[in-house]
Order: sequence, then C-alpha cells, then structure tokens
Amino acid sequence: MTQENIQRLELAVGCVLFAFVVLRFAKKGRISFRYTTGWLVLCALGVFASLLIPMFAPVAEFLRLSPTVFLVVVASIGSLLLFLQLTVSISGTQRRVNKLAEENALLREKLERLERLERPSDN
Amino acid sequence: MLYFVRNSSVSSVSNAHQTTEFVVTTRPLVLVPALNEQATIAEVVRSIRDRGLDVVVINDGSSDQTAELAKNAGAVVLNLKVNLGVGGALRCGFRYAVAQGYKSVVQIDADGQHPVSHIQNLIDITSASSLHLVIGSRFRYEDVVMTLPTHRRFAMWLLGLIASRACKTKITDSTSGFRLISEPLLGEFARSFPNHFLGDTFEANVVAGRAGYKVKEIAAPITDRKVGTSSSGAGRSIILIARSILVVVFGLHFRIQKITA
Repeated sequence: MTQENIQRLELAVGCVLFAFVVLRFAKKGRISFRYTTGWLVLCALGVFASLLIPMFAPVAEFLRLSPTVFLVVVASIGSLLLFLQLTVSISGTQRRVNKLAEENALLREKLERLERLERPSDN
Repeated sequence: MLYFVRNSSVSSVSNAHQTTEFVVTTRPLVLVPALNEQATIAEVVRSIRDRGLDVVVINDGSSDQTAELAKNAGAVVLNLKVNLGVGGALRCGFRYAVAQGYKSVVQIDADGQHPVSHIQNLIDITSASSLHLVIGSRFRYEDVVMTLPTHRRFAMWLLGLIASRACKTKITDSTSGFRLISEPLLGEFARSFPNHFLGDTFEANVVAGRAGYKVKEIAAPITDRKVGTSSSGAGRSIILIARSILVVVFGLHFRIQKITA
C-alpha cells in the first residue's frame, strides 16, 4: 500500500471514529439534534474527501502541497470557521440566558410585591 | 399611575413599595450584589435600612441563606437563578431601579468591607456637583496602597492611569465596588452593562468617561473582609487584567449613548 493510500485510510478512519464519538454524545443527550446532524455531515464529507484525495491533486500541486496535506489544511480552516461560528452562537446564548435570568428575577419580585398587596392583613 | 417624591422616613419608604409600582425619588437605591454572603448580608442590609435608604440585594445564584436573611433584614431581593457575575447582577439592579423611578443608585459590596456611613459622602458630593458617577476609593488613603503586593499595586496603577485618562480626573481605584451612579448614566447602564471580570468596574468607568459623563473619585475607607476570601487568584487576575486593558485600549468595550450637553 502506498504512503498516500495509508494517509487516505487514516483520514477516513479518523472521521468514522469521530462520528462514533458524536453519536455517543448525542445518545447521552449532550449534543442537540441540530448539532449532531451538522457534525455527522462533516464526518461524512471527511470520509468522502479522503477517498477522493486524487481529485484535489491539481489544486494541491498548484499550492505546492501534497493532496493529503491540502485536505488537512482545508479541514483545519473549516474547523476554525466552525469554532468561530460556535463562539458567536455561545455568546448569543449567554446573552439570552442573562436576559432571561434578569427577567425572571424582576418578575418574581413584582409577583411577590403584588401578592403582598393582595394580602394587606399580612403587612 | 401614581407619581410622588419621597425623601425621608423609613416607614414612608416601606409603604411606598406596597402601594405603588412607580415611585420617583431623590434618594438613591442601594444595590448589593451578593453571592453566598450569609455571614454578613443581614448586618449590611440593616445598617443601610437604619439610614433610611431602600436596599435591593441581588442574590446572584447563592446556594446558602443569603436571600432569606437579606429579605428578613428588610431588603427587596432579586433572585437570579443562575450566577451571572457581579456585572449581570448589577444590571438587573439597575433595571429594577429605573423601573421603580429611582434617579440614582449606590453600589456596595455584601461582605461588609465598605462602611455604610460613607454612602452619605457619595450622595452629598453628587448633589453638590451634579455628577453622574462617584467612585469611593480605598487608595486615597496612602497606607492602604502600601499593604498590597507589588504586582497588584502595578496593576491598580495601570488601570487607574487608563481610567483617569478616559474620565479626565484622577482615578486611583478603578476597580472599586463602592460607587454612586445617577441618571442618565444609570439608564444607560440598565440597557447595556458587561458581566465579565473588571467589566462592571474598570471598563464601566472608562466607558462612562469616554461617553462624556461626569466622573469623580472620593476617599472611602475599606475594612478587611469579615468572612471569606476574595474570589480571584493572583495568576488569573493578571491575565484578566491584561485582557481588560486590551479591551479598553482597542475600544472593544460595550457602548453607551454619549451625554448631550
């Protein structure tokens, strides 16, 4: 087996293993359906791309990279973009949680005040 | 909707809360963000109430009896079900104050470090000079500075330098948790206020100064923590201070409306 084929196989196995980890997390309910499907699609793309590495040869050659390294570079850039998107998503979620917690606290206080008003004998 | 002004007695303050939803007052509301401060909170609340001031304790997800003790001592308690940090707790308090018609708030720590008697100094200086933000500084007493480790003194000096430049007045304690904030800055902070480390103190002071609000610092003594320890370790503090400085230097901080003359 050539060096390139070994690398292709390693990439494909890596993607499959990662897909198993994602599925395990999903089964435990630690990743929502939306993100599970997203990660699985990415894993499938990884396997697909590793099998079709020779197709990237012209572009890789133009960039003076081996096809496998080219694929790893593309995957790394994709991962960085994904992390950025997730950071944006987390920041938004954090803002919403903060707002929700504040609203909850203010409404509880208002409710308690109104309840006190309805029971003047308690004052 | 009923509007009225109240200034003096504690009893009228209590009644006011029970008879109307919206009260316009010239007295500040005292905000006490608290996280697991059951050892000191009741004493702090009682000492504030004894001075005829309304007090709101923002219980920032405490797992102890902080909320119950504060309520029994006479405070209005805003219970945050998740821990938002001091900034998040304060913003909740600012929103409450604005909704209730208060024109200014005093922020004070729940650990009893700030002498409640000095709240009046903040109020007096604000009234006399129409200020928007008055910071109580522990470092205006020189002997306090000397007790800090060198790296902390340097950090405080650097933060003070940046805050002073932004506020166009000398700031020695830009991380002070003892402040008076009045309208229209209060309204701006109720809309937008950060909850990361130093965001609620240093960054907020810089933002207020850059937006043209009138800031002043006065001396305010600080006592040792009665119970517990400070929440931030030395290594982490240095990293977070560096981050805050970068945020301010590169103008990445939160934005508020500039004051109109």
